[in-house]
Amino acid sequence: MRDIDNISAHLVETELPPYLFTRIEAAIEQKKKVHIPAARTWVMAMALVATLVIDLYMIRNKWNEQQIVSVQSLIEVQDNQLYHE
Amino acid sequence: MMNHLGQLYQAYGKSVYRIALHYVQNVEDAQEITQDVFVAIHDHLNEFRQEAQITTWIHRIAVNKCLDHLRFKKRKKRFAAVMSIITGEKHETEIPHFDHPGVAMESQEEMKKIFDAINQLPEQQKTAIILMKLEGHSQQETAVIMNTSTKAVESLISRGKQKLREILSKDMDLNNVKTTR
Repeated sequence: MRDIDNISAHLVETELPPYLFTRIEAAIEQKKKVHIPAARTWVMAMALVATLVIDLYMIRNKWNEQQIVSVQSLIEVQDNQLYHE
Repeated sequence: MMNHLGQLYQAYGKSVYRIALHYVQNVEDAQEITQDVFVAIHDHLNEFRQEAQITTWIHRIAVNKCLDHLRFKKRKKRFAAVMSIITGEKHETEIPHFDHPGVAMESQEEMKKIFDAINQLPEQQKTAIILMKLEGHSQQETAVIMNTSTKAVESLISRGKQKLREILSKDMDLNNVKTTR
């Protein structure tokens, strides 16, 4: 039995499960549904990058505005102090 | 396209399923691999070059899918072991029982031992043994499927057989010790 050259003699015909091809067809259909075309992926990626750039630009603008307001209020406080003195 | 796939399934489905069974010795996993193989064939049929034989092309996909499956299982097992060390909880990884419908009923027990030994071989040796000794491919065909030379296949087979003999004789010695006790 343990003759390695002869192990195939202990094998018998294997039958394929009858439902397996239906499963394969279903898997292919499912893959088609999930599949996003390359062009659409590109458009989505570019839109994401654009949104990120705009967000960063707006955050920077807002930060600048806040800086200006805080400097202005500091000047005002100093002005008031000088006036009272 | 589906019709063409159907024809390929009719012609090569059995051999793909059989190869998968030789690798995993488990019906569920073998079915999953067969499914993956035919989905891959469907996806890459346009890339198939006519100068290659379709049999070798399909069998090469089957071998690659089987090896991928085994590597995935190994990674999963390793991950479970690491998680059990970290969390202290036991993450059970089920060990599939020997379920190979291609093995004759009277040889099940002996063949289980042989497949256990085959499973201990390195990937390349295991593939060469499965393709040549179990599937009956010639040395030339095995070399084409494995994308290597016939000399390399010859060496893989000889080293694989030697290692199998060592594992099986160790197993026999162990059994003899058990029975004499």
